[in-house]
Amino acid sequence: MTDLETRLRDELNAAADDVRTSPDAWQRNQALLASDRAGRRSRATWLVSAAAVVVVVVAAFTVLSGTGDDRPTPPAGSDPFEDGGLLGTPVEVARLGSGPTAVRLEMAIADGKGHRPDMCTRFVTGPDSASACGGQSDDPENALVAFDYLSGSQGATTSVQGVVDTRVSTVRAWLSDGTEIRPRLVALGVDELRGFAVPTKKGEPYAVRLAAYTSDKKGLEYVNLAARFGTDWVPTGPVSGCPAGLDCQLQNLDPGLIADVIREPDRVVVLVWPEVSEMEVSGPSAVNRNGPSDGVPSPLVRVLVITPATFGRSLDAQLTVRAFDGPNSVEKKAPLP
Amino acid sequence: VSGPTLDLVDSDDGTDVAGDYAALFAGQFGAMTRLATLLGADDPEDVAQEAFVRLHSRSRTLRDPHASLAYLRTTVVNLSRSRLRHLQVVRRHNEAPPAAADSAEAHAVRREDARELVAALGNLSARHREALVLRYWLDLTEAEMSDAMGVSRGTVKSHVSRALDALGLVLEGSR
Repeated sequence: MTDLETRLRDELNAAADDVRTSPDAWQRNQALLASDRAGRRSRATWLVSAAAVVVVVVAAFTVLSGTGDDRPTPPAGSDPFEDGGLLGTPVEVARLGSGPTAVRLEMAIADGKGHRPDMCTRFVTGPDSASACGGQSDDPENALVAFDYLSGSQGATTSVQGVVDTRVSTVRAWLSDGTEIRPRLVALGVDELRGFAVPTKKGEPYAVRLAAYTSDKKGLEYVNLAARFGTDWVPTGPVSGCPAGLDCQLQNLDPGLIADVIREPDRVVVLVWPEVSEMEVSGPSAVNRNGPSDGVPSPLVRVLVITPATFGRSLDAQLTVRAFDGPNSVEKKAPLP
Repeated sequence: VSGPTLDLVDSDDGTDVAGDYAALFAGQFGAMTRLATLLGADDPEDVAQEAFVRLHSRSRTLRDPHASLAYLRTTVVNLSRSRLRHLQVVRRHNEAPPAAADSAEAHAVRREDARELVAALGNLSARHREALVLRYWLDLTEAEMSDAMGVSRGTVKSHVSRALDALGLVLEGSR
């Protein structure tokens, strides 16, 4: 351990020792649990009502905004759409279907609890609606973070929705079958933020990957929803088409262009995401440049297999793999054998 | 934390999980509050409370002490990151930003000016900060950090390495 690491450990321990908790923390927790139970009872009532509606309009919504199967919904009486807690006017960001059974997704920024802006969404079918606020955000101080909020819903309508800032010109979304969708970005009237949603019907492929680009096609952020929402919501198990014996669990793959690089005794296997248009493999004195191989069953994660025959020389040395998405690229070293 | 008295029986299959929950709260609430503080949350105790409330609804997780602790850590990491993001939007939206000097983090830093590295954590990205706190304060393994941060082990390694580099640069810049 370096001096820097030792000093950091000591300082963290000292800072942690200074933190004190409230003497009534347990009592506060019990009060919060009681409130949560009341909220869940209220939601259960709503779901029972909605279940009857489902038969007719096929639209029930459960909103996810945390990890795993957390499904927070505002307690009764705290819906900012109803209570006027919105910073802007709700706008329709997407619509699924048409006529009386259409599902409209409305979005707004809310001044939650008077001090905490939230992304709020409302799913509306005919006279029925369900709303929730909140969403996951990542790495707030990082200039490369483009998605201010992300959340999802699960039910008769499965949807992922989020907010982007002014740097973002295009959002690309890939569904679980590899289909690409470019959702519309709708101004929310607050801080030039714009909202989007990718809704699909139950049983149909749904969004598993997002990418945000500037107007000059620079990739700002790539997000795998499995890492955000857990595998209770997104597909579980290995990605179809994954070469036998490899770990291709969505949640374990890197989000940035190159999902994984695996060296095996007689080959190097590179997994890349669908936006990758070109690959470059270089060794001590050779460079190969081409696209990922075609004909792989899964269009979501594509595979490039490097062998001595395809590379033109031995794979004994360190290899560097680069993947390109327009002007964007990611580089990874293949581990030494 | 004062001694909890228990009256909750609230799980999917009716099993009494009150004892597990109370013991976990007594043993880990302080640690989760400290974790949220070190991650820079402006309301660390609220973050810890929210994590426990979310855990309470997951009775199957609650019956496994290791899974409970992992769930709490992940939730505190995610909530702290969300709080930072929320604060950024608040500051953009409000003309009068909240006084950062009143944050728990600033309070902790004020108590000991000599904690230069802890203060420098505030200049790192949230992911880098998480990596350092989980690695050097909680002493988590790469696998545990991978679960808590929701990224691959390779990304964990990369975050730790880059965070240490960034921390070194911040310190150099302050001199």
